[in-house]
Amino acid sequence: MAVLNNIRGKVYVAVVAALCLAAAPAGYAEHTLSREYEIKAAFLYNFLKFVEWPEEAYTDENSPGTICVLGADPFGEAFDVIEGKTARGRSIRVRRIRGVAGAGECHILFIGSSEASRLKEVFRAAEGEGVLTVGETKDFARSGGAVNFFIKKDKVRFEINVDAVEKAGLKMSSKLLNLAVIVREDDR
Amino acid sequence: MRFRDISIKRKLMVLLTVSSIATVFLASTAFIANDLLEARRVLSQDLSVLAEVVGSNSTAALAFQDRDSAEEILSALRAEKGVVLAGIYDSRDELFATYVREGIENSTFPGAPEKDGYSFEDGYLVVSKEIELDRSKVGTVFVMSDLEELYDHLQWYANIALVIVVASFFAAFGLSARLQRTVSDPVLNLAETAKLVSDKKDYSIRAVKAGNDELGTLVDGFNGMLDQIQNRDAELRETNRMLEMKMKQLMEAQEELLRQEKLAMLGQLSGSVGHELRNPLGVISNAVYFLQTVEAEADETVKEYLDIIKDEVTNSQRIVSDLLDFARTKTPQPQVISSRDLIEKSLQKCSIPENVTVKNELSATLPSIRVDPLQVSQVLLNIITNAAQAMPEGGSIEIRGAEANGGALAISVKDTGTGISPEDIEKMFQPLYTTKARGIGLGMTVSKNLTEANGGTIGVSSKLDEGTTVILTLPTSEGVA
Repeated sequence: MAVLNNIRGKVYVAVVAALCLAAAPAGYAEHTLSREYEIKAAFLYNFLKFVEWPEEAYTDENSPGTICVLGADPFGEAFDVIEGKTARGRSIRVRRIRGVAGAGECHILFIGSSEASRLKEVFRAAEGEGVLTVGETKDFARSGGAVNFFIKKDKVRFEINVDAVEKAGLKMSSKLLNLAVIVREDDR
Repeated sequence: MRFRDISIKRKLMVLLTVSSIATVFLASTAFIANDLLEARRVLSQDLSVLAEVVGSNSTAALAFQDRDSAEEILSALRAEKGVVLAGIYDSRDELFATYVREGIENSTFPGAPEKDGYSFEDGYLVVSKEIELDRSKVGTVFVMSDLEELYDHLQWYANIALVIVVASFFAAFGLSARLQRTVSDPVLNLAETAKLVSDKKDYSIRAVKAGNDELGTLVDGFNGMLDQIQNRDAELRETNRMLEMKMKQLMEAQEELLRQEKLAMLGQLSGSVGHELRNPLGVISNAVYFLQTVEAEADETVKEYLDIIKDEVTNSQRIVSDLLDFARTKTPQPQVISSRDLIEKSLQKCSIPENVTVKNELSATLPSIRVDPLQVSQVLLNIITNAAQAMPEGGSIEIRGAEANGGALAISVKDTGTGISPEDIEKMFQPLYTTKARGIGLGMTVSKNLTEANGGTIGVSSKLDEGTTVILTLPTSEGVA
């Protein structure tokens, strides 16, 4: 357990402990819906590792990867698990934003179900800003969102609209694409 | 058959072949061992790379906790026939996804992943590789491969090594059969020479030296020994010859000594006998003379018998004279006389049978000689009488004279008689040797003694059935002066 020797290791242990506690009967991998947003928070963090943003998406070398939550925040304390972590050498910052005006600073923009009615507007605002839009509403990706969470067999999975990712000027790892259900806007 | 008893050729062949095989065997073993180690290294490296690739591909599956995806990635290991088991552990070292090759029943995964690296366990190669994402450990890949490939490899190499060993056996056998000759030929040659020398007792035979190696030294040593033996043999022969010669000389000396003794005794005997018989013979001779004179008118038978008595007395007197001459050779009283006169006078004294003709071939200019005329006359008388007696069926006597070298006169008396055999010639000057029915064998001995006392020599040459030539050399007056 040499991992205890560093801070990151301690964080891992914390995450592991938390998840184990949550999914005790079924084991770690059997994440349950009760912990849905912890998983989604972890996924959002992992997206930072598997998606490549252009240089101009960051102000400088030290600027953090920013995850924005638009609308009603369903995460609560879920982002605690990624606190202090880094992705691609950058620290992580989580922001809650009220309107699309601040979307330009975001790298990942999570759009909660509360914003389902004004998705078009949000997409328009995020377009060309190098923002990976992530949603959790049905048809989110087919409407022009990049990544959409859904639940399948009690597991959080996601679909990806590769056209939207491309339009946003982002490069997505094939490894990530392999895990996702690929959708297109005209698949409707 | 023991190894040391087999021929040197076979020994060399066996040694060369065994050495070659041993070398090839060792080399093959070393190569196989090295290759096996290398193959193990390569295999473990390949498997590590494979684990690394699998790990790298499964980062997203681990990050997003997608078991199906992870297992799909693992299932790609089907292509690697050696891989028996494979598994991915998550960051908390719990088994996250597994792969089991078809047909494998008893598959047990380690409870926790092993440390980064590889190990060979119970005929399997086990590789563990940490999976990193963004410089953090997100899991571990575990891959277990059987060593069929390695064993196949080993089998293949063992087959090749076997072929090489067999091939090199034949090659070594063939080559050694040829190469061993450089060593065995000189040795066999030496052995053959030794046998030849021993069989023929010929110490002049020499072994041929092939080179300057130890065998060359051996050949030199052998030849040196032969030199010594040859020399010693020659010395022995020479010594033997000398010994034989000396022995012969000794025997001859002894014979001579015996002969001298015999002669001395004979001399004494003949002296006293001759002395005792001379006077009675003189009386008988006178009596016969008287009777012949007085009884001139006697009848023929009486006359005839008186003649016989006279002849026999003359004969006996000659024998007595020989005996006395033999007993004591008087010191010669040399005087210079005409050789021709001396010879002719001597000839007149001889009683030559009627069937024998005398050819006097003496030239008128023969040199005079310096000898005792009485003694030499007796010698000539002896020689001519002998010549006449050698021709009982008749013949001729030829007398010649010629000047010889060194102031000598050579007188030859040649007859056409029976001749004398070589053995008899050797013995004819020995006393008491005779081939005649009558005579005591002193004539020639006395002749030789007298001739030599007068400074001359006497020699005989003869051929059976052709005749005999006696050559008498006498000192001339000039030669002596």
